[in-house]
Amino acid sequence: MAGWEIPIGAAIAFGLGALGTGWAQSRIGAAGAGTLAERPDAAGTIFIMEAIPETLAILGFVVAAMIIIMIK
Amino acid sequence: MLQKMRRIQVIGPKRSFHEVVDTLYRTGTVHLEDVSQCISPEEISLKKVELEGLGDVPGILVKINGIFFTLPRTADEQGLQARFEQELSASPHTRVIERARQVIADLEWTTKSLALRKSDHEMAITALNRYEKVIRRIQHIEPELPALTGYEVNILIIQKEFMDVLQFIQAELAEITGNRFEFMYTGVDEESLAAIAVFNKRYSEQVHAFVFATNVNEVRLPEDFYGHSFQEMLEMIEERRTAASKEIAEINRELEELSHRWYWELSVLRRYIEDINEEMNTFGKFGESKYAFVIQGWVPQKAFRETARTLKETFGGRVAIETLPVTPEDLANAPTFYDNPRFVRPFEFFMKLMRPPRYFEVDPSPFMALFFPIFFGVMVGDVGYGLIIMAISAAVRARAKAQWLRDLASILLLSSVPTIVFGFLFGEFFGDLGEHMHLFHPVTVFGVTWNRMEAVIPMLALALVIGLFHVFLGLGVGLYNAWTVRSKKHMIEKIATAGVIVGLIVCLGCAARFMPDYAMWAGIALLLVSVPLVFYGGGVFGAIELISAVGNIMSYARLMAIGMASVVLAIVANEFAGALGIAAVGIVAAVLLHMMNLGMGMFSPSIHALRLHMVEFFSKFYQGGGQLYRPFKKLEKES
Repeated sequence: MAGWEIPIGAAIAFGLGALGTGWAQSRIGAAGAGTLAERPDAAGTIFIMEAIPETLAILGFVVAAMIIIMIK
Repeated sequence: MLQKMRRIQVIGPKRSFHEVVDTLYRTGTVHLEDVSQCISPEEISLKKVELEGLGDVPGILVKINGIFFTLPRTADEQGLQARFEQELSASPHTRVIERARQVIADLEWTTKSLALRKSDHEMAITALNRYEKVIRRIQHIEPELPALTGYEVNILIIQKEFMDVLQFIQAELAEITGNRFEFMYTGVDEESLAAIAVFNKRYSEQVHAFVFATNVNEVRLPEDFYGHSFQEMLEMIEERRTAASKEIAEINRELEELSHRWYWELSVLRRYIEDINEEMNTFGKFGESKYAFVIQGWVPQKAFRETARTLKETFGGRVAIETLPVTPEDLANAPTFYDNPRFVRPFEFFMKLMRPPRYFEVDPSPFMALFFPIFFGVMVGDVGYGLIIMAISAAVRARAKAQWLRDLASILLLSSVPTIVFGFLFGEFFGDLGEHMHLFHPVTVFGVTWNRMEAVIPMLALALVIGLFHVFLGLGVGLYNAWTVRSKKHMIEKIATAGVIVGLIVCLGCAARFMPDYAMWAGIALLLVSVPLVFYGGGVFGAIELISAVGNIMSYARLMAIGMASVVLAIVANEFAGALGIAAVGIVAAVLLHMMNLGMGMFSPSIHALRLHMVEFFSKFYQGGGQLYRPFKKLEKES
């Protein structure tokens, strides 16, 4: 199999991961900005919360890379 | 790392109290504790020390600040600040307070009335501007209005989305005035309408009461505007605005004159009174009996000898300083004092994003100083980018005045070294430009040629191995922290979590045929022993931590992913140079793309390296919640 399925599969793997991360970060970021306005000392915690969903996009990228490299 | 602290108690005769406080203040090493919180009344009956004869210092400070912020800043051409500084430094507190009271008596009324007048004029100009805006908008409907004397023109501003209210207002006006009124409206801007009501003055009170009750924004023109045409009103507005502006200019001139005489004296005076106020608050932490005083606090180990020597040299045997025994409860309240080598200190900047570590915890900043540059280097990994980052950060570090900027520049400067080293390993100089120019080639180590575009799987494996090591290190530090406070359950949780991870790796290794089959049994046995121990040590949260620890290791894949994205962009930039027909345009496009990649390369890997520490690494051991060491000494001078 070496047709259009591979890039499409890779795109879905990465795209959905990135979309999921974007959606989660937008929710956390909005709540975090509100929190920071009242409690600036919570910056560290907000940073951590905001960073947590990023892994999803990274793993999506890894899976996409694997699909492209490993499926010939 | 955190400096070891000693809990000290200073006891002496009451007559030496002020001298001892002055000496400790100058030494600037003691982080004070509130004696009344530390010594119970059953132990010794102590009362809080109060500064006498100074009166309402916070009140004086508020008044001095009020006067100071009214005056505009002036240049200190005659060295007034230094002169007043010298004068006040030689004065006792009572003299400083007396001087402040005198200044308040001389200036408070004058500055207050000038500020009030200025504010009135400014408000008048704001109102006039508003009248002008509305009048200019409605001027075109003037011919339609009846020119009647004894009538009042009332302007209402209404949001367009609430324009239905106009009908209601019209009906109510008809009822109030017996249908003897004129009402029309026009747009003011995109969002609001101006409605004009003309009615006999004898209904004025009822109409205003109704408008007030309906909560409609009313532009109430000054009474002497009534009976004039809109054009005349505009002329009157201009006239009044000019007069108000002149008044403001005159007030500003008077304030500037006052400022020339008083600004720097007030600046120095308020700083001294802030110090006295701080001192008064601090005095509440000291305790005294009929004949003696007690001061208690924390001193860094390395400053203890110097503090004790100074007290002994100054007071001989009259004042005693002793180290108190410390209980685990006391340790929880001990201040945190970062005492790191020079190259680690910039990384304390990142620690400010979190609550400081508790005294008995391991300070994570040395680990950050070691791993942050390595992670940054693995991600950027380019000799050319590394050299540019080094040059930019060195220049910023040399010129920046703000400490936080100097810290960030130092961090980037340190990170540029591994960036260059990994650049050599990956054979990257502005992407594949170095390879095209036959300057650099990917190095072959452990049988792998570390070309990031081709060696994707080895890069991923390298990233995960780094992650595994980092997470295990975090668990190790967590184990040490748990041992420090003798928390057996936490120690078991950390060891068991490591056991589960090792068990999983062994099982996966066997499944992937990297390990012999019999190792699978060892892996399963390790899992069977470790998983219940995780529950025993950490409960349900321990199990959640365990799952997240596995996810955390996977998260280090970003070291490969971010790096790969960076190198792809660099290669695209190089392709541009050749792909565009005109060489100069191609080179410009390539340079711009490289600049963008470099900008992203300085920002994105920093954020990701920081995240790997704060989320993946710290979660294995860091608690935080400590209080920073704040020695009793003079506050930093304001510029």
